[in-house]
Amino acid sequence: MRHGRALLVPVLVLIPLLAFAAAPTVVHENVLRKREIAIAQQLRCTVCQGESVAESNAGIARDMRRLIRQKLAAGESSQQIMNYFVHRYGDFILLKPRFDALGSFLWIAPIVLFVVLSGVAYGFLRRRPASKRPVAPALSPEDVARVQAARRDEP
Amino acid sequence: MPSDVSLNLIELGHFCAYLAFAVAIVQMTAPIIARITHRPALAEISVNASVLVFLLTTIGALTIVYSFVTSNFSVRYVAENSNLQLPLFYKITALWGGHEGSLYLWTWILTLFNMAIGLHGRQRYPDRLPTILAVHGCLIVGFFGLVLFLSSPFTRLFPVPLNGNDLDPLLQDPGMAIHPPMLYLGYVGFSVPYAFAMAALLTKWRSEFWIGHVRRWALIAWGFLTAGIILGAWWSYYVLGWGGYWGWDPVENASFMPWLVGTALIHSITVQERRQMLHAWNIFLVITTFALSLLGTFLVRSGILSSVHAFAISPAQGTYILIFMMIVLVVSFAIFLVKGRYQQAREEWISPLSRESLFIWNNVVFTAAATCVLLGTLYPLAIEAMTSQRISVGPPYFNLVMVPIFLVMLVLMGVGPLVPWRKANFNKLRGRLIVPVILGLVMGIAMRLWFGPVRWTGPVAVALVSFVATTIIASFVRAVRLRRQQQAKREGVFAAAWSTFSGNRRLYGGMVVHMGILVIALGLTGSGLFQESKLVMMAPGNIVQVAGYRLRFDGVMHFHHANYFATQGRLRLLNDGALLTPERRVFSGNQMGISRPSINSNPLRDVYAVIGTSHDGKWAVHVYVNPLVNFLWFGGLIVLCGVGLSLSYRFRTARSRVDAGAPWSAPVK
Repeated sequence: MRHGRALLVPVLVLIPLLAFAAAPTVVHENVLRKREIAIAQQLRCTVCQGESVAESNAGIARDMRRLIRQKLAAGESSQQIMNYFVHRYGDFILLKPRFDALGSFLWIAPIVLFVVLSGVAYGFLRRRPASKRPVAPALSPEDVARVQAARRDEP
Repeated sequence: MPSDVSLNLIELGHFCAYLAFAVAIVQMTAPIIARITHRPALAEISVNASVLVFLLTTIGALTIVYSFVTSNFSVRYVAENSNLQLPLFYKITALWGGHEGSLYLWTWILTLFNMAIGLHGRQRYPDRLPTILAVHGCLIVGFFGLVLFLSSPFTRLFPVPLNGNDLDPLLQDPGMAIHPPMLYLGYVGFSVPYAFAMAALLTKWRSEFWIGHVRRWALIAWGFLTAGIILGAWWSYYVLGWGGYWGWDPVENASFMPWLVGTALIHSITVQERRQMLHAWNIFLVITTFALSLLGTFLVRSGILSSVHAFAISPAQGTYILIFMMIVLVVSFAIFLVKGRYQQAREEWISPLSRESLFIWNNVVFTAAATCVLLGTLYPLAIEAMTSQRISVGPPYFNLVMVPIFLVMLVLMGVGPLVPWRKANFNKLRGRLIVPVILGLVMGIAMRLWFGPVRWTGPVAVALVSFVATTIIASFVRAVRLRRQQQAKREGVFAAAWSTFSGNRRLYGGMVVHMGILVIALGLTGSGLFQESKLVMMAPGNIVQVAGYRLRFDGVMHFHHANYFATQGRLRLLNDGALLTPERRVFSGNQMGISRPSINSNPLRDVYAVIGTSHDGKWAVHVYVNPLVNFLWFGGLIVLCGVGLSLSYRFRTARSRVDAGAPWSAPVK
């Protein structure tokens, strides 16, 4: 009898599913899916390394997506869920480094880099050659006289 | 079972590879000995050696291919990367399917370029050719050292296995067959400008004599690198089945960094050509581009990263490449620091509003972009090496940092070609800018209104693309009109347009490249901001709707192929009745399972379906709708056409034929 009841539950669940399978049914994505993907895209799949949890087909990524879904269903905020994963796996799980002791460098460096490179380029463009070229010596009085004589000769 | 001769033919290749190594040493040392003993004729040996090295390396490569085709599993590399069921096409491409073979291909292409310089330089720059070949010979010796002593594809395996392991299933795709050779032609292609730059430093070669050659070689390498990167993205999109094409994976970044610096180089080299300035900076860029190519090879081949590409982990090879790279870097930059300023710029002053000034800003942006990618790629490795902590730098970071940089590049791309050399007339420039700017603003605002709230990058990108496209078209129209006004005989519009275009293919080839980049930018915007996807469990008969596209799941079919077993999902796109057949393949060789997406494509959007595992009679189906992805591939084709057009135009460069026969003559005072 115990076995019978244990069987009854899946059968009862399956009957409506079979009914649906017979007629064309539109499958809907869970309402929470959008938020789930948004969170999963920020997290690294720990076994595949190159991929985010949203893209990966690995088992652990699937489990993590399920966990995110459960937590969203339980009413947790995205930030709470992210914190949970960081707490569990460390900063490694975040694909976008945080602005903390280690990560801040990555956020400051591009800006500093742009400022420095722009400064170098600006300095290069503002450079005046005058200081580098030797200054021509002033004409001696005789030379001046010769130039004037030559000018007079011109028609 | 292969016969004795064919079984051992690989040893002939092995022997030829050793010979090639020896000949490369001769090529490297002959010019040096010639210099020391004052016998210039001796240096000629290296020119002949450059051809011989290529021929010997080719024999080596062909024997490896022959071993693959005859399934000679006594060769370890063949046994690891092939098996009897593998289709013939993939047996051939398996040459670069694994670690050792990839490095051999790298070296083979290096020798190909080596021979190309030798044949190209005989008539054009015979006096400096031996030095160039000596530098290039050093690189070949370095890579042959790796190929022969640490990562040999010729190693034998006894006892001989009956069947081999399999080629990585992900690599069994036509896209993957051509992606590595293209990428390597790009990477290795930059070794030619590098050899030129080092020879220029060592022999104080006046830049007027080499700049034209370096520009062409750099452009060729850049074209191949672009093709390689786009084919890589294409492969990633069509094979990996994650709905995207670019993941800011360290291996992708490794190819992107030399591309960025190479782009800076092909722009700033024009400044050197036109105004005889920035010599030292260009030499610096050449060295950096090649160094980044080596870094890319190191990152991919050392196993320091674990990703789909880094399929080998071998510390000795990694250390070798690292040390080789360090030697190349230290020696090159030391020579650069000592001799870099050997040639004074003829002019020094640059107007802030001139083409050359804008090229300098282009260099700032591209160098900064490359450095940002470099930081994001290496910083996690450095942190992991120095502290025990690990952090990740992934797509969310790179998109946030790089997209604004790309937008700045687009601004420069629009303004730059409008500004004349030397000094621009501000009012004239304003007049040329006004229509494109207004049109850009209108398009940006229209996009914002049409699509509703999107990220700020969307409307800005559309505005900038319209702006740049308008400036390019307007400039061309102005040039055609001017030509028709100046011509005494009235020319038809099309005839005038054609002669304007073909009369300056170098410039308009570049503009075609810019147009291609704009098309790619549209593709990136569309697919980056407007991708929609759903991951659902589907039973046969179920329908899923993504972004207005309805797909009905009609169950699965099973297929036995020569070397894999496929479970094919059948999805009917109800909008137009097309059938999508994503597959899950399990390979018989190594029991590895991969997903192969199926794509219904039209110019404006792709419907992209992936099938996963089944559970309770339902299948995990991931459907993406990716707008404008085809723009990427089409834009890439336009870019390559532009490069070809630009190269087809021969810019007359100063030739050093006068100096022929006197190898070390006429250094710059």
